[in-house]
Amino acid sequence: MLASRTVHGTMDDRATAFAALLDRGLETHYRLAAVILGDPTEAEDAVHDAAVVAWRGFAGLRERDRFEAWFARILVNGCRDRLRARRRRPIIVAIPAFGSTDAGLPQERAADAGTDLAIRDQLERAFARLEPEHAVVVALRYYADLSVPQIAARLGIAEGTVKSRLHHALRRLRAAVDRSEEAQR
Amino acid sequence: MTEDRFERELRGFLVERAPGAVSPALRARLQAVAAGSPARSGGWIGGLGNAWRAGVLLAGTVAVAVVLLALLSHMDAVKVRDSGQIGAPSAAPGLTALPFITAPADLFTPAAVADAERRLGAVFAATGVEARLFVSPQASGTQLSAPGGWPQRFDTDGRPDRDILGVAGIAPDGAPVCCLTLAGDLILRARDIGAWRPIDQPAALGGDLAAATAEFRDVALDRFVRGIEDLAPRLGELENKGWTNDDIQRTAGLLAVLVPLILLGLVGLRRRSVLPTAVPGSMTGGPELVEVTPMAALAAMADAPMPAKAQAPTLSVSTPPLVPWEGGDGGTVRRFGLPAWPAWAVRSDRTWILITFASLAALGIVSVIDLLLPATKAVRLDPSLDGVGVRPAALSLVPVALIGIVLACLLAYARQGRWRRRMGVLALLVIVGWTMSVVVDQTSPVSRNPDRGWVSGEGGEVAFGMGGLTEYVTYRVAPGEPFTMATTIRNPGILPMTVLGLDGVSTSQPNPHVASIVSLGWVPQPTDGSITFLSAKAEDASASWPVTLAPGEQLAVVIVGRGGPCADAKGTNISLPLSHLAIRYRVLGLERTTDVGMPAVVLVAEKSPCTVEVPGGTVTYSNPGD
Repeated sequence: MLASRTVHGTMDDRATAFAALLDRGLETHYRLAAVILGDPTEAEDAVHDAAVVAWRGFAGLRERDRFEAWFARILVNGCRDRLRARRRRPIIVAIPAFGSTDAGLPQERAADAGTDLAIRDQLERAFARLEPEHAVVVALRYYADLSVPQIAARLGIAEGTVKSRLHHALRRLRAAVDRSEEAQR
Repeated sequence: MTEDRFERELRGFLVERAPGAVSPALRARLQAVAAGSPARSGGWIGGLGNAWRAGVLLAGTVAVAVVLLALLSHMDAVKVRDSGQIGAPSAAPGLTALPFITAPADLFTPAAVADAERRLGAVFAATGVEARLFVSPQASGTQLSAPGGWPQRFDTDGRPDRDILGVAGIAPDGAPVCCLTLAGDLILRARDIGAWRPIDQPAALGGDLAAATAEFRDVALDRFVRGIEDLAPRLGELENKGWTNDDIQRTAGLLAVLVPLILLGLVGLRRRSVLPTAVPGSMTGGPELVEVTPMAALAAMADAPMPAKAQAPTLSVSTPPLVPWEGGDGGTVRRFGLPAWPAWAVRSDRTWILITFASLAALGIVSVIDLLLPATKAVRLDPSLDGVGVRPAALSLVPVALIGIVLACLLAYARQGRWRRRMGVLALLVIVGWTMSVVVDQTSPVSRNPDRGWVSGEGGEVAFGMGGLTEYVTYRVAPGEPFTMATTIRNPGILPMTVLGLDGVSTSQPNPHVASIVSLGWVPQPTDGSITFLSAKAEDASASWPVTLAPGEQLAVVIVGRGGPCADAKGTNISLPLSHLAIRYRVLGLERTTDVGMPAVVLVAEKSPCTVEVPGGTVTYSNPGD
C-alpha cells in the first residue's frame, strides 16, 4: 500500500506519492480552507502554499499514513496566518441583493427568508470579525465536525484552549444573531 | 433563538461558504509544485530530518555560546597551549627569605631599607597587601627577570590577588634596568582606576635608581613605599564594589551581541507554516501586478457574469499546467523586451536562520581556532636575517565570505516578512554591527602598558628624563649592523587576538636610510601567565609566528632593527626616533594592521650630511645646522 511504504525512494517516486496523497483529500482540504477564509480564490492560494510547504518537508515525513492530518495542520495554520494578515485590510462582506432570491414566495415565507438572510448576514459579519484562532476552531468544529480532542490534536494545542476559543467565538456569534433578531422585531 | 437553531444556522452558514469542486486551475498549480521543485525537496538543509536539523541548530548555538561565554571569562577555559614549549626557568635566583625589600647592599642606605621594611610590614598587617621590591644584579643590561616562584612563593597569606612584586635590575656597569611590575588581580584593577599613582610605580623608579649616591637612590624606595601606603586602604572599597567598568563594558558588549542573536533565533525558528504567495514564474514571489485603467475595469465588471454561489467554477479544463521558469534567456518582459529577473527562491524562515547560525558558528570557530594551535618556539630569531616575522597584507576570504552569507541570509529572511520583521532585522544588523565594530576596534595590540616593561639590546644607551617617566635609548650601529630591544604588547580587548608579525618594514623619519625595523620575535615565559622575563637577546626569542593572545594577555617581543647607509657607529648626530611598529594581527579571522607605539624614545646615531643612491640619482640628507 502506498501510504505504508518507506519514504526513501527516487525523486519520481516521491513526487508521484506526494501527488496521490494530496489528491486524495484535496476536495476536503480546499473546502475547509474556503470555509475558514470565506473566499474560494484565496482558498486556492492557501492550498497551493500549503502544498509548497508540504512538498519541501515531505522527505522528512516518516509516516505517510499521517499525511492527511499533517497537511491539514499546515493548511489550517496557513489560513490562520492569512486571516491575521487580512485583519490589517478592510473586511469586505458580500451581501446578496434584496428581492433577488425571494421573488414569488408567500408573504410569511418571504418574511422568514428575510429573517434568515439577516441572520446569515450577521453571522457573516461576526465571523469575519472573529479572532483568526477562533474562526479556525469554529470551522473545524461545526464544518469539519471534529471533536474537541481531534481539534486539539490537529492544531497542536491543549483541549482546554480549544474549549475556551469555542466558548468565546460562539458567544460573539450568538450575540450577533441575537442583535439581528431583536432588530427584526 | 434556541441553541439547536443557532447551531443549525451556524452549520448552514458554514456549509454555504464551502465552494464546489476543486478547480482545474488549482489542480494544475498543485501538479507544478512537485514537478518544478529541485531534486531534493527544500534544498540540502530542508532535506535534513528533524533530528539533524535540531542537531545542527544545537551545535551552532552551543558553539556560539561557548565562544561568547569563554570570551566573557577571559578564555581561560579554552586556552590550550603546549606547556612543554612554554618558557624556560627564570634567570634570576630565588629568594631564600622573604623580605619586603631585596637589593644589593650599597644600593640604598640601611636606614631607608629598615624604614621601608617596617612600613610595608605595617601595611601587610593592616590590609594583607604583600608589596615587595626586588632589585637584583643582572648578567647584562639586555635581560630582566623576576625571581623564580612568582607568584606562589611570594604569597604567604593565601591572598595572591593582593600581592605586588616590583622588579628592577642592575647591569654590570651599574645602570638600572627598569622595570617589571607583577601584581595580583585586585592590584591590577586598582591600578586601572588610578588608585596607584604612576609616579610611585616600579616602572617610574628608573630615574632615581640611576642616581649617583645611595641617599638619592633612597628617594625611589620612599616613593615605592608611599605609593603602596596610599594604594592599600583603597582595595577594600574596590573589593566591595564588585564589578569594574571593564567587566560592565565587556558584559554589555557581549549581551548586545548575544541577546539580538537569541531573539533572532526565537523569532525565526518559531513554528510558521505560511510562505508569501508564490506563483511559479513570477518575478517577486508575490502576485503579479497588472496595470488596468479604471474605465477598463468598470467595463470588465459590467460584462462579467455573476458567479453562482456554491457551484463549481467553470474554468477551462484545457488550462496547461504551470511550469516554474528555470532562468535563462527564454523569458522576456512584454513591454520593454528585457530579460526577466530570475525567480526569487522562497525558502522557509528556518532555512535562512539555520544557515545564519551555522555561518556564525563557523565564524566563531575561525575566531578561536588560533587558540587551539600550540605556541611553538621551534624557529629561533636570527638578527642576521631580515624579514623574520614580516607578514604581508592579505585579504581574509573565509570570514568575509561567512559574514557575507550571514548578511545575505538575514536579508532574505527579512525580505520574506512584513515591515516589522524588516525593521527588526535592520535594527539587529545595526546593533550587532556597531557593537562588533567597537569590540573589534578595541581588540588591537597596544604597548602603552603601565608596566612599561622593556629592555634595550646590546649597545643601547639608556637615559632617563622627567623623573623616569620618559626614557631614551640610543643605538650607535654601523650600516647593516643589527640592534635589538625587548618590550611587551598587550591585547586589551575582549576577543582573542592573533599577532601575525610585522606589516612590512618601519623606517626612521625623515631620513629612512638611518635605520629600520626589520624583524620581530617573541620571548617565551617561564610561566604561562604574566610576563616575568624580558630579554633583548635574539637567542632567547622565538621567530615562530603567529602567536595568539587571550583577552588581557601580554606578549614579550624582541624587535630587531638594522642600521641603514646613513647610520654611524661613532656619530654624534642623533636621528629622529623610530616611533612605532606596524603590527599585523587577526581578530575574528579578519586581518588588520595597527601602529604600536615604542616603549621608549628610540634614537640611532647618523651621519649628517648623508648622501645615498636612489633610483634615478642621489639624495643628500642633512640635519639643520650641518
